[in-house]
Amino acid sequence: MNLEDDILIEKFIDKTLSKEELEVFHKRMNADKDFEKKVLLEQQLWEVLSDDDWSFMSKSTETSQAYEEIFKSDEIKELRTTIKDVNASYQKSKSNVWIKWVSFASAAAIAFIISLNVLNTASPNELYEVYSTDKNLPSYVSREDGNENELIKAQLLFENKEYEQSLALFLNELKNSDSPDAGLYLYTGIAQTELNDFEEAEKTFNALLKSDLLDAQKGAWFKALLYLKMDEPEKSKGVLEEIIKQKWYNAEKAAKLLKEL
Amino acid sequence: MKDNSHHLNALLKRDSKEITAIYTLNYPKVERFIFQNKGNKQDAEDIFQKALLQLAVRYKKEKFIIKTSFEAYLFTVCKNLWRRELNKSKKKVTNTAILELVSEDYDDAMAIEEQKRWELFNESLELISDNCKLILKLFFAKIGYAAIMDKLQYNSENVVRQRVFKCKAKLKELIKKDKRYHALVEL
Repeated sequence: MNLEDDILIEKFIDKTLSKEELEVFHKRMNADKDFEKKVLLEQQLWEVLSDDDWSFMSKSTETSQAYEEIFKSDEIKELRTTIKDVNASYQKSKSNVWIKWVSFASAAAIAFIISLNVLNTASPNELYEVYSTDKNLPSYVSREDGNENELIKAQLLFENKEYEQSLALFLNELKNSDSPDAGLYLYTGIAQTELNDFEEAEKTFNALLKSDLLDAQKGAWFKALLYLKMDEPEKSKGVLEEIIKQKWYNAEKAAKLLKEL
Repeated sequence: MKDNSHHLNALLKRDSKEITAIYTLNYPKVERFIFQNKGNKQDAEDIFQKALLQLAVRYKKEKFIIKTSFEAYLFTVCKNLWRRELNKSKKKVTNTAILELVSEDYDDAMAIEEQKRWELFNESLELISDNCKLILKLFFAKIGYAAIMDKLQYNSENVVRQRVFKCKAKLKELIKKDKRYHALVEL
């Protein structure tokens, strides 16, 4: 292929050919099979080697037809069932670990509170203001699911400190989502904290901690902050101790905050 | 090279104990990746199951050899299946009728061929010179000629264009020479 054709194909892939140029291009593809093959390979190169794309097969091959037959076989159907069963028991065992931890953490926090005889030297509310500034929450701005507009709107309202309106949207998403992500719980819980709806905030963070989501542990950090805002430093200390012990999210910050309490 | 066939054999034997071990070692990393890339828990579970089935079916047909560790390979397959899913929704917008008609088995079979194409192209990229590899990686990352010129200190954009052209030609030559390329030609 010469450089001229290379530039032409590049323009075709970039969709920068004019209407007239595109017409000529298609005519040439139809008439010249070699040229068509070159275009196809160039397109595949782009699809495979650009990170955000994927090269789909448009037609089956002899081998793909053979794979399809294997997928249909009883042997693979049985394997599909086995994998599903393993997945179910693996996910269940994972969530049991979380339930055990939550029970343990609650007991540990109560024991810790009872055993302590502390004189507070710092204002918990002041510490809440300091430590709640850096929330490091996930962004919904680039999501591609159908709820993107509502979630983006909720996030933007949250960022503008319009917590009431933001909370209403997040609660709605939480209610209607089959598999809410950790971010949804966090935004909801923090908005409830900011609105001094402490009981509901605690419930939200506990729900996150009980979930088997990867970021479930983040619930502990925001629960510790919630207790500061509630002027319950002892409860906050109990949670912070556990964060440090388990080396969870923000463990270093938790150690720093604990010293300041 | 480490022999990874025992993992693949364990899948075909439906060895629950071994499959559980594969889950324990690999699933959390895959779940993390999918969560970080617009997915949820259900997506992670589906992709992991699809990947295991893909490996089993491919091994059943052609006893292929995994050239890296099993863990690294499984992660790549999961990443690619997720990349495929994300792009499928883009494709659906323009091609709804066709995509709705295909069966799951057909789609899963196509995913294996696409994975093989991905392997062929990426392995071929590793065979060209370091300079060519770098320039093409920048080019396919959609970095413009001017930026490549600055980054790699070429004299002009035209020189960069010529270099990209030559490197792409070399890469295409390697791909076309590989017998896997001809097997991947669509009917």
